[in-house]
Amino acid sequence: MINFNYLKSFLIYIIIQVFVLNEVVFTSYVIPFLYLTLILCIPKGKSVFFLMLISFITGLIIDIFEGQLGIHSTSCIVVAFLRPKILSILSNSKTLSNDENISIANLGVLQFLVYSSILIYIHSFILFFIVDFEIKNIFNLVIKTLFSSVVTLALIFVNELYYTKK
Amino acid sequence: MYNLIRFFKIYHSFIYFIIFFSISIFLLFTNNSYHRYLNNKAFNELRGVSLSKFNSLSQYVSLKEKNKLLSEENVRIKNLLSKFGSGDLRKITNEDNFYLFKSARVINNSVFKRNNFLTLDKGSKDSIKVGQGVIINDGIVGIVKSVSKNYSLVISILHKKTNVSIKFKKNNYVGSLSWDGFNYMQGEVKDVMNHIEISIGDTIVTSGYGTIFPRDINVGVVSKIKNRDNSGYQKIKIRFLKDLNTVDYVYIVEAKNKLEINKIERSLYD
Repeated sequence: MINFNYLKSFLIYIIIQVFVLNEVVFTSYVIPFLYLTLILCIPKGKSVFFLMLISFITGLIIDIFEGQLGIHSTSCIVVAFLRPKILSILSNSKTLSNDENISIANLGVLQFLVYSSILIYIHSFILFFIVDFEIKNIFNLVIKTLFSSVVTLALIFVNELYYTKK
Repeated sequence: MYNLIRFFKIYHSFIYFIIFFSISIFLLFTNNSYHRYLNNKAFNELRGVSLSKFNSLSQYVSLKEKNKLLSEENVRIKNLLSKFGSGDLRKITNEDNFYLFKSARVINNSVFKRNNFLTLDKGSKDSIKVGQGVIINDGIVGIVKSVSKNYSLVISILHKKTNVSIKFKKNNYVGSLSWDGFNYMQGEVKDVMNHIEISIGDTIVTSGYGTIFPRDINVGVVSKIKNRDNSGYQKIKIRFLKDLNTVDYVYIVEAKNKLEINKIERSLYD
C-alpha cells in the first residue's frame, strides 16, 4: 500500500518540518506547516482508514518532536476526515484518477488552491485553538491562523509547482 | 445483522474518524495536563539524540561569543568564591547552602510558540529529577517536566500555565508571574493589590517560596502598570532581564531537603 517514493518524501518533509521550519520561526504569528503536503497529496482512491492512519502517524511524529502529544495529530485527523468531502465537491471524477497523487497537474491550479487553502485554514485554526484554548484572544487566534495558513499555502504551492515543472 | 453491516458501510469514515479523534484527544488531555506528567522516556530519548546531533552542527556558529559569556561567568563566580575565603566551592555549597546547582547545555529551545519547551543534555544519569527548577544568571528558565537517561525536557516560563512566585525587591510584596504569549521579553505579574505602590523600573526577584527556585534571583524590571479599578488588582507588565532566545548554558537547581518539606506540607491536607 505504501510505496517507496511516498516513504522517502514522508521522511524528507518530517525532517524539514522538525529541524528547519520549527526552528527558524521568527515571530509567533507565522508558523508554516509544510508537512500538510503529505496528507494533501495522498491519492483519491486510497481507503479512508489508510488516510486517517497516515494523518495520525504524521501528526504524532511532529507532536513527539514538539514535546506535546495530541496537538498536531488531532488537527491532522480533522483534515483527513474533511478531505474526501471537499475533494468530491471540487473535482469531477473524469480528470482525477484514483491512484495518482493529487497535484496541480491533475486537479487544476484554481481547484488545487481552493482545496488546499480550505484544509490548511481548518488545520491551523484547530491547532492554534487547541494550543491557546481561551476565547479571550479570539482576534489574535484568527489573525495568527490567517498569517500562518497564507505562508503555508505559499510554501505548498511553490513546492507543487517545482514538482510539476520537473 | 444486515442493517448493522449496512450502517458500518455507510458511516465507516465517520467511525474511523471518531476512533482516531478520541485517541488524539486522549493523548492531548493525559499528556498535557500540568500536574499529571506522563514520563514518555522513550520519546524523550529519541528527541534528545536527534536534536543534539543537529545542534552540534549549529553550535560552531556562535562559539566565540559563548566562550566570552562563559569566561565572564567564571570571573564572577571566582570573585564570589574569594569573598568566602576558602578555595573550595563544593565545601560551601554542601555545608551551608540549601540548594545544589548543576550546569547543563540547552540543545533545543523555542520562544515563539504559545507553550515553549527546552531540551537539556543532562538526564537521570546526572540525577536530574522531575520538578527541579532551571535558572540562568539573572533569570529563571523553567521547570523540569520529564527526564530520560541522558536528556531532560523543561517547561519554559514562556508557557501558558506558568505560575512562578515572585516578589518586588523594594517592598517584598509577593505576586505571581505568568506569560500571556506573543512577546517573549515581556511577562505579566498578577495578584498585586491596587494600594501597593509600584513604579516603573522596580526590580522583581524570585520569592523562594516553594522549593523550586532559590530566593532573590533577579527576574525582570517593571515596564508598564495599569490600574484596573473594578477588579482591585493592578495589571503589571515586566521586561525579562535575559533574552531566553539566546540562552545556551543553564543551571539546574536541586533543593536538598525537598522531600522533607513536601512531606510536612502535605500533612496539612491529610
